[in-house]
Amino acid sequence: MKNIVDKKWLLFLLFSIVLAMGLGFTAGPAVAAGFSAGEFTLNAEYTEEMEPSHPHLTYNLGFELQQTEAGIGFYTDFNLMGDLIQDLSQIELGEVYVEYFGGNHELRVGRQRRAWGTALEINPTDNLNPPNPADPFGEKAPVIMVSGDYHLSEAMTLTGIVIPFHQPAAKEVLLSAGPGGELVSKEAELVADDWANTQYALRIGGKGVYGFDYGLSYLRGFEALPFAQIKKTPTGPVPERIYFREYQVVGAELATGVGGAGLWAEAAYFFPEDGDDYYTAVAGGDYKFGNGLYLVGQLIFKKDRLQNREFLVQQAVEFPLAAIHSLRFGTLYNTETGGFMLRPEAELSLSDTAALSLAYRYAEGNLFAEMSGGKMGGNSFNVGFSYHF
Amino acid sequence: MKKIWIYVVMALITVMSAFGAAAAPESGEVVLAKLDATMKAEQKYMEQEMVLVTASGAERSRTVAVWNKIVDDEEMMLLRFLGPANVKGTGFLMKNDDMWLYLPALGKVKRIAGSAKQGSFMGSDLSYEDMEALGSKGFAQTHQVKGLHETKYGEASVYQLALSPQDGAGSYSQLEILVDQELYLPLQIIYYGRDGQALKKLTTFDHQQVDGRWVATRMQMEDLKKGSKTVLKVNKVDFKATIDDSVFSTRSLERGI
Repeated sequence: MKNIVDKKWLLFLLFSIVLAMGLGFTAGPAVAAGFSAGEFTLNAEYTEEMEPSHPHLTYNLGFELQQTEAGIGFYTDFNLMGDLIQDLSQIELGEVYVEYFGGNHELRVGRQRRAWGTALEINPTDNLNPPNPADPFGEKAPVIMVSGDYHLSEAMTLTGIVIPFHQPAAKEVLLSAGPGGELVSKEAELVADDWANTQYALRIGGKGVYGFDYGLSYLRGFEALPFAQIKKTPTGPVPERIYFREYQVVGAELATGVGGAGLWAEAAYFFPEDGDDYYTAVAGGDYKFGNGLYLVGQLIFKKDRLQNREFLVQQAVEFPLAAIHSLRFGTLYNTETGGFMLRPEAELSLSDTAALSLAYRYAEGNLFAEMSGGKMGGNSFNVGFSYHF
Repeated sequence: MKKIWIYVVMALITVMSAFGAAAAPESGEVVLAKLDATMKAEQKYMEQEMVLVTASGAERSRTVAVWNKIVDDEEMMLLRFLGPANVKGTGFLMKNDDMWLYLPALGKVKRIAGSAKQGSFMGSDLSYEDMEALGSKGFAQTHQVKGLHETKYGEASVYQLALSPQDGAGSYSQLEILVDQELYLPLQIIYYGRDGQALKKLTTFDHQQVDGRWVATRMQMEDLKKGSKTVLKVNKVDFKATIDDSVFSTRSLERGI
């Protein structure tokens, strides 16, 4: 658990509270609501290529607390997690924020996640929270931010976000070194906690405008993954500087429906301060049949930070089983590298609050050139039990 | 004397005609309009328990809060799961043909494909289309009367109303509704598929008067092919609640009204 408390953060907090309370905004309805909830999960995972090869048996006990009264709210979640075989445990803080609900606006201050984008799992416009390099499809990490939504109408919202500290997704890069090309881990220069390095983002979004949902966004900040600036020398290329590049991101997203099918498109163009521009564009659709069969597919076209062009095809089929269980089969295929992943999953409902999940993943080759070294190879099998309370 | 008999016969015919007119069955369109008038409310708030019973007898229970309102002929519905814990906070918004879902784990509102209307509503035996018709939309807007006759359903005198979709749209080829002649509430609805086979059966129970309106406080939808059923129990209904139009927005969905 990382604690960041300095003068800059306290100033931000104070400024935000003064902004919310002092500008004379109309307060929202004086309603009181609250809940506390939790989830216990027990997971056994066997990954063929990882050592130790015995199944990892991990647990997670998560708690959520939320309270809202007279337009002021508080939310926190935290997890007690660990490995039962290696006898390791830790407490991880999730989101912790206070929020203020006005008549036509909301303001949220604290450690939080904000999700942007209309596409499935891969959202190029969503760059506020750092991804998990080991699990590109997993939940992103919460970061300290001040976020405000101003509702221009019932359908349109203007969002402003200020992120005072840069939180990287990874602090090291793996570089090949030596004649054998062995991989060596190199630490990156961190972004200094300085006012000048404050990141900010703006987004205007609409829902149900002539049958369309849309969003246009802009971000000025720093990349989540370190970048290695390479210098050519007579003895070969050597890393000159490993750091987080400052960049600007312009994003656009759209979702609608045609003939019963859902359609979406999302794209972001990245302008780094140093080096070449890059982009990611996603387009997809889904359809649900009367018998419950759900089909979803999307195409991902990207030029990554290293200027590699990639074209990926992602699809999934979902089917309900005996009304309370579900089966899912997902695939991802990179046409440029030939890398692919197959992922059949089943979720079995044991009671109103308990479920058993079974997931198998087979991956081969490079799925993404950058994330997690691009390789997620081999077989892995996961069995999970979850109980909500 | 002959004249007297003619007068007597004419008088009898007049009296019999008058009685006959009073007892004449109502037209299908009138029955359908009265059925819709009983079921439709300009606005209502309802808390329901939804119990899913699989063909093997396993039961799963969910509690939902539902807000319905009609504004400028636009049907609006906001639904929020109150329990159990694993679905609590999940929300659903429907504004005419637009639908959105909010999943707390995703942290954002996602538009749902229109085709989902034909599919199961949150894993139940009701489709979004069924929920819409039973919630506030009614049947007259989308269906036409194909037949009407009077019959008995248990002790109750009912109209048996056959409806077909106006433009062939929707998942069903025909609905057969038994309408209580006194309350104008549906006692049973049989939904027929495109192949003419009965797909589902809705039965209503425990009819009560709330805020001067008759309401079925328990409904059961059976999937006649799969053998599963969903029981909807109304725990609370309020027709007098003032529901602001702003409730039916993706903002409410995200905020958790």
